[in-house]
Amino acid sequence: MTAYYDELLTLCAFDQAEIEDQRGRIESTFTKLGLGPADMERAVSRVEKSFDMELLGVRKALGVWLKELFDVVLARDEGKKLIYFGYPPFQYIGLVIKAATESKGDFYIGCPEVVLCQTLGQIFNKLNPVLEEGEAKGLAPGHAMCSLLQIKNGALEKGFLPIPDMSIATSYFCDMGPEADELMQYKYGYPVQYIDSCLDSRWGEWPAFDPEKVHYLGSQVNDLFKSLKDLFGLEINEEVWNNARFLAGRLYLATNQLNEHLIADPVPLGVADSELIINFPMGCTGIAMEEGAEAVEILAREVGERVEKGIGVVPKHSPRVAIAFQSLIDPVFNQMIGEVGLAVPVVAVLLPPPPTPKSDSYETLTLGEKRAEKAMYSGAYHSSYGLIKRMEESLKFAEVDGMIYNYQFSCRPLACNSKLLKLHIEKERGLPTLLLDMDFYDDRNYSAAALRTRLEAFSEMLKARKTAA
Amino acid sequence: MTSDTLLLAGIDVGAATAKAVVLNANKILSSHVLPTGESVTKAAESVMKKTLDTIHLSLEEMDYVIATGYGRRAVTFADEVITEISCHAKGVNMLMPQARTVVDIGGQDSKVIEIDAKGNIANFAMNDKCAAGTGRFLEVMAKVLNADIQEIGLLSLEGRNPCQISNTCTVFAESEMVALRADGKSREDILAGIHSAMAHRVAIMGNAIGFRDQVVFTGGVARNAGMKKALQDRIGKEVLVPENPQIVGALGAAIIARDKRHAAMSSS
Repeated sequence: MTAYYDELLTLCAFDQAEIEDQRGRIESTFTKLGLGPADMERAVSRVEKSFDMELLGVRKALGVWLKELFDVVLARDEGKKLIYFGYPPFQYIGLVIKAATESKGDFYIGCPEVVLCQTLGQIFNKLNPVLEEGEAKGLAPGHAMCSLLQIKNGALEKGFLPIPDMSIATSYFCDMGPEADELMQYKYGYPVQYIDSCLDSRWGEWPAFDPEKVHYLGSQVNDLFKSLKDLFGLEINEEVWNNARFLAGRLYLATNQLNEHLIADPVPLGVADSELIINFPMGCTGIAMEEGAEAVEILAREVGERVEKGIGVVPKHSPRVAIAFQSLIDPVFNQMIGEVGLAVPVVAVLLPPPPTPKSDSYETLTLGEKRAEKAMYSGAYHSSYGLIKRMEESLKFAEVDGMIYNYQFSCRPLACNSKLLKLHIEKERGLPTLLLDMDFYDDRNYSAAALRTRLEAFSEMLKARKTAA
Repeated sequence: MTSDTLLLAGIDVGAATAKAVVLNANKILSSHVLPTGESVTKAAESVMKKTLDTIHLSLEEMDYVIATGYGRRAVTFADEVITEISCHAKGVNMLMPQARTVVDIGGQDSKVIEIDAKGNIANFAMNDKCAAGTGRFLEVMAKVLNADIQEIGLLSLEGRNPCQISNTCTVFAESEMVALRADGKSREDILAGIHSAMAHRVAIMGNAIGFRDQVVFTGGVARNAGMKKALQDRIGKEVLVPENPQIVGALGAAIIARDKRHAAMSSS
């Protein structure tokens, strides 16, 4: 027996036995999301056009996202407890909670709006109705609300996502996420745990920080631990936190292998394809940790073979650029970067996380404070300067000729640092930096054709420089 | 064949007009401008044909054709496509070698481009999110004020008390026009305000990369004397306009075509 979704799932590296075994779950999910035969047909053609389907690793990565989709959409029906965390997650908090759930029953822990971006957006191109619902039900357009939050709000309203038992707000990075969480708490009554912090720091301060910040952020993290214990009986301690690292260990190892191949010339993998794996550790804690890691391992191997044969997705000696950040929903845009002749030799500018030092007082800190201190050193939750310095470090690794910074529409945390980054990278490293007005979660907010002109011109400029040099 | 006998064509299909240039060495043999109209592909064919007919040449005789502009990818007969940003940089460099900043205001977008002594791009900023700061903005305002688009620049220079225009969003500015007219403001004063507001937008965008001397203004809107003056007033520098600012992109495309053929011939 075959069904209307078999072709898509087979393309996404499901084997037939798996499809047979999962038919009930697959059909329940697609029915809930209103995805029918016509959507599957469109998805097949979109996926074939947008991704490097010759690579099994790419096909498997797409399949992992679909499995993550089934898992979150059906989590409540399958009797799981649900904990959602915001994006970007704080210090891989989802994995830590996951590590604590062993023998505590069945949990879904993840960032479901990211899962929806990578599936309803990337694969099906059907996010607009969700965004519109989110706008209509409290997060109106023009109110400086990030589209990722509109997706979460819209998906809860439409019943695409189950109501969680707890949500962890992104107050350590962004003030809009927590505001949106407050609205959703009002509407759905689920508890929200805020991890407040303060991104205000002086330019040039990082990696130094005010110890009071660690104390404050740490106490918020400890509050979260207390809530997890009160609500779910979950115990978070040093051992659990260390175990969390092992959950993602295989994934990080494989990502490192892939990164090592990507720095080859010609660059062997396109942006649409490498984007597929960036958010495994950022949005997921479940199947992506094993099957996602397997997909990345396969991809690293396949890409390694390309490097040996000298095969690239752009010609040798093409200008090399690093990108912050890729679109989570629009493979057509991601693919355009290669189409205009730009090579991207690094999966993501902030992946994987760097080893961080420890302060003299580290051993005297509470567990929450220790994590807070790590967050300070890791830069992204310290300040614009911290984030920019981290990005600068990845540029060294990738040996690039320029940088592209996609500015997220309606994002307050990224509003100033796009300009700061351009000034800093151009002055300190002499690398031309292109700023693009993008939206990683909502393609209604930009015109791909207009972005193409900028990208092409940037590519022409870098090529002329390389020729002159 | 020597490189001096090469015949090169540049074609720039913009949102409002299509332009073509035929070049031999450093000499423009012919050029034309036509409205883009409904079909980008047809406009490209028509303007190319007209440009070639004037000098009794055919497309087959062109050694290399480069297309640029918003419709560049729809020009079926081009050998290659290059963005209008690179083309304006090269075109200005040939006409005015001292230029280091190009302000290009077209029908659909506006750009400020920093160039080096060879006409290569050093940096650029581009407004493409909305009509504010583009020729389209002026077109809509001219229509609301019942004025000819060709005349609004000169009319604006006659404004003695330029109106303060707070909106550079085309849609909101349109209703602001209606309110100003209801207030009895003169067309000249309103137009002076519009030009000043638009120059302000372009200046803000360009300030991100700076306006290094000399500043050259290209694109269809550069034919508007009022906008030239408004830009000069806003950035506090002399702004130069080439004789035929509309064809600079097409000229740049032809120059790049020439340089590419030269490079190919000297390496073979």
